[in-house]
Amino acid sequence: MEDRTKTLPSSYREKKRYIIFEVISEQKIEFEELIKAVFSYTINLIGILGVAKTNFRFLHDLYDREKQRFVLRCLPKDVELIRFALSLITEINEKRVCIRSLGVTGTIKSARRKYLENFEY
Amino acid sequence: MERKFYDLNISFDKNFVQRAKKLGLSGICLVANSKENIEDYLEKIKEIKKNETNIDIITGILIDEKADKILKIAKNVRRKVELVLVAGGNYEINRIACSSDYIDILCHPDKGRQDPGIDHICCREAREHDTIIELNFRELLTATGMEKIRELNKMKEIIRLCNKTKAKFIVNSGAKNIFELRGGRELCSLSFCLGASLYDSLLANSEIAEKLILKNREKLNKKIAGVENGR
Repeated sequence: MEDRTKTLPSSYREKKRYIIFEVISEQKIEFEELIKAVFSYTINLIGILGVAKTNFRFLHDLYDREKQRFVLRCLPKDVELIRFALSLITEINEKRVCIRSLGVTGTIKSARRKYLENFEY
Repeated sequence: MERKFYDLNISFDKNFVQRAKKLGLSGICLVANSKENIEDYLEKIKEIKKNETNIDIITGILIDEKADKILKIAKNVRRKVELVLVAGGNYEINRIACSSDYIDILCHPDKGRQDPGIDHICCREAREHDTIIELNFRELLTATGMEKIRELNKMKEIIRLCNKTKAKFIVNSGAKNIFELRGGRELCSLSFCLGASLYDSLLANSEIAEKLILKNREKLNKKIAGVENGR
């Protein structure tokens, strides 16, 4: 027998929300730097347990280098908390930045369609 | 319909206008200090308004003086600008600001203090006199380590008092450079995370701010109900 659990039915899965952010900065920010900063600021604000409870996930495939847009996944009730945590970011690797949320979607498909339209993947 | 978000406490600088547009704000109040020349300030705002059509630019004066001078200055500037703000931090100043009809916004009542700077009496007065209590986002951005925790705690207390007494509050960025400016939803998320309901936090930075500006503009244009066109 295959050592793998069956995929949960959709009603058993936890609900998700995808938040699309844009980095506004004078110089381009590297993706690795961005991930580090996002994690350190969110852990700084809500702690390791808090981050774990939010089902926080960085969607690597959806990073738009041109527009500096990225997508985060979390639980619906924690959208505002994540938004607040990221709004506290002022500096990434000694480069001054401001992170702005563009919107929230329920699926990756609509996130792509609405905010990452010219995105090549 | 999309919500219109306002930021009512930004230092006076031309560069903020473009950035505010990019962040999706519908209106910003470029605040000058009461010690500056008001006529010069109003002229500069007029020039900015000529070039910018997509964003509402509001005039405001921040009074950062001792307690005994505040009301006198507020009375003087009331008929010249759309918003009158008072820099809080001292209990006496906070109390005066909350209990005056001349003052619209009490800024950072908790600045440089261990406590929130306002109590239930201030909040009740603020509700009766339509004064809005401000939470300053910049205070959070500039704080580090334990200070940040203390700032968040004070802000939480302010929101709790406002909820209890039904006083109005607003989250302003208090930006002094363009990187300290934040979008409307980001400002709302602060009050939501500290205990306000989502409806209240969205309302604080959109409808309440808009109503206040419209009311003050009407007063400035002497279009009070029944006395149209100053008749």
